[in-house]
Amino acid sequence: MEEEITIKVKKLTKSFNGNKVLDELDLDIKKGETLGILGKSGIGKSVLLKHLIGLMKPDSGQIYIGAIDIAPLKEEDISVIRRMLFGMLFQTAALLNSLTVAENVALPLKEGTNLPEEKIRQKVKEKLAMVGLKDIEDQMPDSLSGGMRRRVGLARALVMDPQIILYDEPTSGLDPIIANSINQLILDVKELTGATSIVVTHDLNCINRIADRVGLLYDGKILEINEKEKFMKSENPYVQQFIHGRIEGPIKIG
Amino acid sequence: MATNSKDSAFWRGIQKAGEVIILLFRTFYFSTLAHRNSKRIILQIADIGVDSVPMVSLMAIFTGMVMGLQAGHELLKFQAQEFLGVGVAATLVRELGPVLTGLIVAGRAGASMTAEIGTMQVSEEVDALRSMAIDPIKYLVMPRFIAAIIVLPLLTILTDVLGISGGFLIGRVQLNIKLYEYVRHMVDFVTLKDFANGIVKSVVFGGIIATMACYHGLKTEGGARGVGKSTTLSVVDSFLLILVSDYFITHMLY
Repeated sequence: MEEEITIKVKKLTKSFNGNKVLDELDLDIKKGETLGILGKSGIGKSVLLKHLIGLMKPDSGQIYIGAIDIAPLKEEDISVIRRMLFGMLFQTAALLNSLTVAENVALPLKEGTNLPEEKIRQKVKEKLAMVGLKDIEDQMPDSLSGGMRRRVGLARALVMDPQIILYDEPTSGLDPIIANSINQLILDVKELTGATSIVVTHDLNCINRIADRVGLLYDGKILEINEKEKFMKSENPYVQQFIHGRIEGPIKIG
Repeated sequence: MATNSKDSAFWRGIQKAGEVIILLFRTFYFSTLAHRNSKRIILQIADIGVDSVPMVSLMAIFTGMVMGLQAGHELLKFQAQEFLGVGVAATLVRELGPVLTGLIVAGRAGASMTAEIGTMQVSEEVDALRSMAIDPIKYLVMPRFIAAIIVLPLLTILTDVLGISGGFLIGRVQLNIKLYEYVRHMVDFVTLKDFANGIVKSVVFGGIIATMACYHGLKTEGGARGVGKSTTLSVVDSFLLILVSDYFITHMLY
């Protein structure tokens, strides 16, 4: 029987140069859901995401992946958990510029498994097809558009068949049409893989399209978290200000 | 005391030394996997080594020629021009060969290594590697380290040979020294031990260049400006460490 994997964050605190970015943040993520985390730019959304996959170490607090608290683990041990469970799409895809598209997607397989070349090539093709790309295996990342880069980045994140996929601002900097095609892709991937997805963004349209539940990150905490419909109707003044983009309100600008 | 003692320059120096040593040990650890990464090592050898050949050659020939000029005219006063060869060879093989080669490679290949890894760091490519359970030290640092310690001795031999030839060129053209005169005492006074010691130095310098370049690359933060700052620091640190360690190695070996 497959183990129920959920993420539970308890009192997560992280400061940079004395500035508390995450302040005793609590968060529960259910298996198989798509959780959207909204927040204005520079509020610490990426920092939160990077803690979930162990790329950053908290000052204090716990991050349970299933039953394991990854906060005190050594890099080698976290690495094993990442390989087994996680895939992450970075904000600008973070493709390695010195490698071709195919080499980028193949990288986790080449470095982390003993699969034969043929099998790797097949898997790369399969994942690229999954994100709607074909015949671009030999291109260099530099020659790709922003949307294509995200697709390749997602193919790379999917290549190890992760159970948890993290998306860091998947639609930022894209035009509305391409952004929506990425949203659709996230939905398709969800449909195909059933993976738990966590999306941090300031793009309300993205959240509206893909999220099951939505949380608002402000001042180092998740201020409100709820089913998407309830969240959008919430009377929380922070939520109202954010989703209507008002200048006046409790959220400070700047 | 107003300032925190942990922020003092001394404490930062200790911390940096510690971090560099940890990086070095982890690089040693991953070096046991070198045979599985031969392709990346060969690429780095081309990057660090082959591309440095023109610059190193030019530097070596002119250094030898300057020594020929400077020493030749002095020796001529004592009718001892047959010792020109020994003087040039001993200086180059023991000291100038490895040191000048090290400085050139630090300025050229070391700087570009830091800029490359630093750019990868600020564009989240290093985080992406970690998210795929690939250790950046294994993937980025180790191949550069191995390549540098292979390439530096080879370039040093090139410097030695071309420098000695440059010295002879001046001796022949300006002082009318014959080849057998130039070489005759060389074999008596410049021993295999001198040569071996020069090679030991060059291996150490190669290690210093790669380690400092990768350390500063991985520590880069703050965009393009940060990359520039890291690159400068990498070259400065390599220069200083090469010159300081040269003294201690010489002290130990002679």
